[in-house]
Amino acid sequence: MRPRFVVAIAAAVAVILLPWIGVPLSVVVNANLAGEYALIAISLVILTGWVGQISLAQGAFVGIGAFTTGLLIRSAHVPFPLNLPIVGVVTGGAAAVLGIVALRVRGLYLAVATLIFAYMTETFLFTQAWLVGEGGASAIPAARIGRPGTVTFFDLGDSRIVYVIILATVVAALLAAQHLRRSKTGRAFFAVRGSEVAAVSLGIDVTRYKLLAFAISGGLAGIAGNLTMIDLRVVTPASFQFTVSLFYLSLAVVGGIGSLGGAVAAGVLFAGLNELFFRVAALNGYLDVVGVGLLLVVLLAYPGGLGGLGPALWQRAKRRWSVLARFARALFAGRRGGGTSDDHLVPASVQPEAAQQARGDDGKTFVPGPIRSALKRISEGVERATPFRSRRTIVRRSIDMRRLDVLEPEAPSVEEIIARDAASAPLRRDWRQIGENPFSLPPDREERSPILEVEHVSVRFGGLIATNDVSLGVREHEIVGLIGPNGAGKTTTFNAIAGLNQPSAGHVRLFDEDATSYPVHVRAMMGVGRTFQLIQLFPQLTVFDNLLVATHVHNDTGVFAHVLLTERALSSELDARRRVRQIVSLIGLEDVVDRRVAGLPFGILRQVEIARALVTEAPFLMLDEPASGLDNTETDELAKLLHFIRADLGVTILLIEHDVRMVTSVSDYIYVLDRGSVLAQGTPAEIQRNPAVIAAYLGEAVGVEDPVSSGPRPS
Amino acid sequence: MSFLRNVVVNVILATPLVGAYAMFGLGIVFIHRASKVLNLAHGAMAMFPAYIAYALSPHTGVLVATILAMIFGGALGLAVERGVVRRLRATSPTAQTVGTVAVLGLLVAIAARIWGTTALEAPSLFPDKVFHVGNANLSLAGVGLFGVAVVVAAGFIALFRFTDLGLAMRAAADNRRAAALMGIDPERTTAISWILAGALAAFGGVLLAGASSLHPYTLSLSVLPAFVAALIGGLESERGALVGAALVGLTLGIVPTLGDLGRKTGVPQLALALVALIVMARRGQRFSAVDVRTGGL
Repeated sequence: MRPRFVVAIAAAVAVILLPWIGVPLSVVVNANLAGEYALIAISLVILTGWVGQISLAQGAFVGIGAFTTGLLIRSAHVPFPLNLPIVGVVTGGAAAVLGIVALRVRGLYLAVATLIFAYMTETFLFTQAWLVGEGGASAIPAARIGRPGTVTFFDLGDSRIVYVIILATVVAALLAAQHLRRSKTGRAFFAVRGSEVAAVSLGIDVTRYKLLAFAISGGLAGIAGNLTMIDLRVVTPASFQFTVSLFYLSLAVVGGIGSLGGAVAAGVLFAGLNELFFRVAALNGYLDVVGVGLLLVVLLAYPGGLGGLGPALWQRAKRRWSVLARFARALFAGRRGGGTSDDHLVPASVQPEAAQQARGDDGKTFVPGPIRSALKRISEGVERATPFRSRRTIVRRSIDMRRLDVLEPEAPSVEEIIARDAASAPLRRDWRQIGENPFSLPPDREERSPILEVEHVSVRFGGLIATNDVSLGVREHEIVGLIGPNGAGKTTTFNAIAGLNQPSAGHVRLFDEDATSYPVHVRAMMGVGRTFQLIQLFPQLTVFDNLLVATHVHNDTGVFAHVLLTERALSSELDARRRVRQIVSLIGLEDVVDRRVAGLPFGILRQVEIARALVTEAPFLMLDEPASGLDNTETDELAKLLHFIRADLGVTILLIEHDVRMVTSVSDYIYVLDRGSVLAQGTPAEIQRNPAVIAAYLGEAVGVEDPVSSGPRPS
Repeated sequence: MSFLRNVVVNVILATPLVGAYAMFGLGIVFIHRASKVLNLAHGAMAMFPAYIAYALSPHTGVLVATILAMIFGGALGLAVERGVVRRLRATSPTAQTVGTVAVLGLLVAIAARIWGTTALEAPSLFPDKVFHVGNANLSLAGVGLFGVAVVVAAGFIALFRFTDLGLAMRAAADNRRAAALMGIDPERTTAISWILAGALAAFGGVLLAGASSLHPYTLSLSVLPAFVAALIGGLESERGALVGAALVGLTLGIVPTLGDLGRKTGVPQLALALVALIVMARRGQRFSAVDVRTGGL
């Protein structure tokens, strides 16, 4: 057994047995307080730190939890361990109601909304005698767990027993949160925080995950209230005033919002202060001032909070220690064999070689801690793919990265390509080296099956007609360009296809299915990938994690599987990572894969965004001005990339572009929009000759044959 | 008929609240526009100067004490901006909001240390006179509060409409960088916004304390409905905040007249909260976006 392991076990035993090793009762009481604080801070870490939703109402949820517990015990005789899950569900539900507001407002407006919720709870709910008890206090008798005659071995009148219960709950909450964070759910949370538009375009149901975050957070806060009630046995509404909510948020911020360890540290710190000020008579009554002062200091001097401070100190200690260790090693040189004990916890069989190269020797950075041990269990060559099984009725279209068999087998030229590519490992082809477009389409457009049909779509914003009766089509394996002057309605059309705005008339058909009424994330699940004019990556995440978010649609495991870390959740996780590594080596992003997105060169960001869309394996990509902001070299590279993903992956592409040179060089077919209507359509050669198009771009009068010049002009 | 009369009486009785919420709501809007922060310390920034006026008035008289309290309030506003909010600008809106929470906690804790936590009778700018409205009493202090608020609100709307300073403040709030390129110092307009908001909060605090009483928590928390008022107005427009204040004051005044249900504890506040949540649910777009190039979030 390694010494580190022994120390850890000894520490854990000491923490569990703390109340029995002769500490005064006040320490136990404050330790319980620390546990309750930690639970509340964790609930805020999830909601505010991970999902980016500020809550100034956490005290209200704790209060609802505590009073519901009292009510359950007094009126319904539901004893402690049974009422905990009930309370969690009740407060989670209450929080989800508040979450409905969060679907519409965000940032400071959401802060005010939660503030109003807290105000409402305090002034209305917590003044109702049926809930908070007659005489303004809710009290429960000290009791043993279970009904008389059943399980009675826990005496809840004893703070030390409650201490162990609280400790166990905190540990369970920490584990659950940690598992959640590294899962599909956690990534969806981060995606919602980073960019909701990008999240929904990757198939993430933003509504669902926001409500889920509120429910989880509220449920945790309610459980903290439940334990507070069990611990104190009498609570009053004054304990859950609005100012208490503010204190709880401060707690999470001092912990470094987003850090689970920091949340626990902050809970221990504030409860410790409580104990200190109780002990030292001279300090009596200054707790508020000092606590708030501490909050200000942490905010101003250590914006990362305790969660950020801890690792920094740890690094420093480790550096010191490594000097000592080197010294010791020099002393004992030769006596012991060298070699690092830093084992790579991911078995080689699970990690494809290319990916290991791609990730350098730092292979374990992308395998999360709690998953490691479980990985060992299934390490022995368990590399089974989890086939995607959609629970929805919508058929998901997806390209097959391995065999490229989505290409039309009838088309002779395509067959050639398949044969050639199958012979020479197709995915090893470096797209940057491709000179010519090796792809040719069936000559007749009608022979290709339709991917997208926009039928007479009009979009109005109030009185403004942004697009008027636009019809266009994209067929399998085509690259279709959509061009037009500023304000022509290109992005509006795009958003109507993606589902971000609702057409007032007309239909959008995707993969031969009427998708007009489908929400954005469902269209993404059907196989529509997209990139944005203003790049919508998640700036706080690495390139790898950005791509990992896009595996969302292929992962059909649920929240409970993530929390419990089931084998199925694990194998989906492995599958997701494999998928991402494939795309990384395919696009050639190995050099930047571990870098944070913020600060990468613009051309790379474009490629990452396209790679992210490819990870969803969407057979249909929509690119909104992919060349904007790129220089000529980068634009040429982008054109090569588009050819490559079309020819080698069989992806169909619709792109909006300002760069006419680029559009005419990559597109098979072009639509020209002007003033919200289709001005012209045809092959690049036809478009370049079209006088109406030339006029629209150069601003000349066209004459009577132009059918749309009298139409309304969107600004 | 008696019902209508009842409503009219309650509307009149609610006017002091409308005045107070208008003054606080204006300050909240000024600060939000200047610093894009929700100033949760606003209540404490009203409460603390009210105590200052209370402490000074025996020596200087109420009028001078009020003026000194307003100066203190302005300085306090500037100090909060310079000392806390500006330093947290680089971090996140959450950190900035929590920074104002810290200020709230600090001011309340200090006030409670110095003056205790029992309610004190505050000096009033207005003579101790009471009007009888229906069966209830309306103090001259309350009427004065409303009158002052009307004058102040008109003054500020004129400031923003008709003066160069007002234009500069609006421009800097809209787009700091563009305003700076036009020769406006956005730091200066931000500071002015906070000073004005602080002085206004102080004035409102002194008047409200005069019409009710002085207590470190209660007075600080009495600002909460003003947040609702500012929110109903959209947090961006001073006229919106005034309309919001009127709505909030009237809701709190009228709901208790609507039968037995309305008189139950907390029901007026519940009605108010529902109004606010509905207003918010009808606003805003569905999905937020981010621009990676500017750092996001």
